[in-house]
Amino acid sequence: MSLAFKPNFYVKPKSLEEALEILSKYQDRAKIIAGGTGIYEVSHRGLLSETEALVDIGAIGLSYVRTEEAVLKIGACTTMSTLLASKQVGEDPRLAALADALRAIQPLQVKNVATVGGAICTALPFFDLPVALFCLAANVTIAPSGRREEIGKFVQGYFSVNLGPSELVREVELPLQEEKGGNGKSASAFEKFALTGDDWAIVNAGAHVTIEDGAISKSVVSVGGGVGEKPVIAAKSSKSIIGAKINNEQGIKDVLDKSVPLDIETVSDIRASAEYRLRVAKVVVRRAVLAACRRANI
Amino acid sequence: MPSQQQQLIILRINGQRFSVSIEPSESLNYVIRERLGLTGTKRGCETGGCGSCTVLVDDLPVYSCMMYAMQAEGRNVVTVEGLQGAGGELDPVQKSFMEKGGLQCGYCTPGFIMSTKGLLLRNSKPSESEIRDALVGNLCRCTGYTKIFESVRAAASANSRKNR
Repeated sequence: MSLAFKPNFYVKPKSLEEALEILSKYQDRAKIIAGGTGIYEVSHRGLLSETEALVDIGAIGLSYVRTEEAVLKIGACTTMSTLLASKQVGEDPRLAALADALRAIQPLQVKNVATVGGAICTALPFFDLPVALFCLAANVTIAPSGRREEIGKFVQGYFSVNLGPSELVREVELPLQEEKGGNGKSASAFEKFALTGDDWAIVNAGAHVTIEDGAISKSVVSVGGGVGEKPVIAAKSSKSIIGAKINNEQGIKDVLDKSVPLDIETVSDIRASAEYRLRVAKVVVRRAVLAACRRANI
Repeated sequence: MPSQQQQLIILRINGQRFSVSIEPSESLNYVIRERLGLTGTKRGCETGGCGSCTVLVDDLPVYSCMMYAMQAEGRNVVTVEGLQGAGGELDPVQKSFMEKGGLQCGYCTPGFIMSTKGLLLRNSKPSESEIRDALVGNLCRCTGYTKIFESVRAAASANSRKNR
């Protein structure tokens, strides 16, 4: 336990309204806790010494996974394990990047309590789920205003999201529109490279592709890990593979080998040098893209 | 800065209710070990990595070092002390670890046993990769894991024989 973290009190509101009231009263002297793993890591490092109120939002009805009119809605307090076990994530190839990312999050003891909203709001670039959510163009819905923001803009940097002190993330939304017209089929995939079975990603990547007539017609590639303060939408790489024939894996490799270094600026840290990260990033992005293509082609 | 207010909570541990006055920053691990004297659950890294603090909360393996005790209110907590039968007979998972020699110093063992118990509660016939996946969050510095996996396999087959 950190000696610096001494919240005055812990409260577990029974409704969203009650939670918002407490946040509004305490503003940045309150800290939201859901699974607790993020709060624990941050408080353990002495970063929450100003917290007076710990507001547990586990009982305000934000744990759900439902489909409404071709939109997947995930409550912010849904745990990683619950989301992974959900029917939608298990069956829909368009959401497969979520399943891959959830499987990559380790260990189980963390997955059983860590929440979707928590992972997004803790905002560390090497987390796995947010990178998958980036390539799937997820939106977050914020209470009390109900404003929706694309996750790429909502996440701003290390530990930093676009959230005021009396706001909280209520829900994450993913569009599920199938391509209209043509015979386009969509699928996604996520790949992670880490030193051990339960370490943080050195590099991870998500890919969401649409295939028409054996070629990539749409693509979004995201990259995370040691590539900056937040996950990156690899715009040049996403564009560079449009039109590529999916059975020309060498062609896709050649194109990505050139575009990935233009999209990301890798960092050196205790786990890997920037040069090693860049080499690995090309492979991880390629694997995510090819895996998504294979899934879409089934 | 005002100091922490003590709060009274009721924890359900191994089927028993405990009423305990704690500070909000106390972890479940701290309360179990230091306030309730249940030291079967260990304290290793305190940063959610080694697994020696693993307990079951509503049948789910969690790191008790990373959960505030207040979060456990209203949930069912099971520690290694809770696995024994009423007459003191060991749980099949405990027996398997003993019989197969799945331990040396024994410090990681309660954590491994709780993770194994959690696995078998949700999957009575785990595959090799499912066993490994379930135990990623438990580290052992002594055994090299071989005998631990043998113990888990033995517990799984004892489990499925029992349920036939």
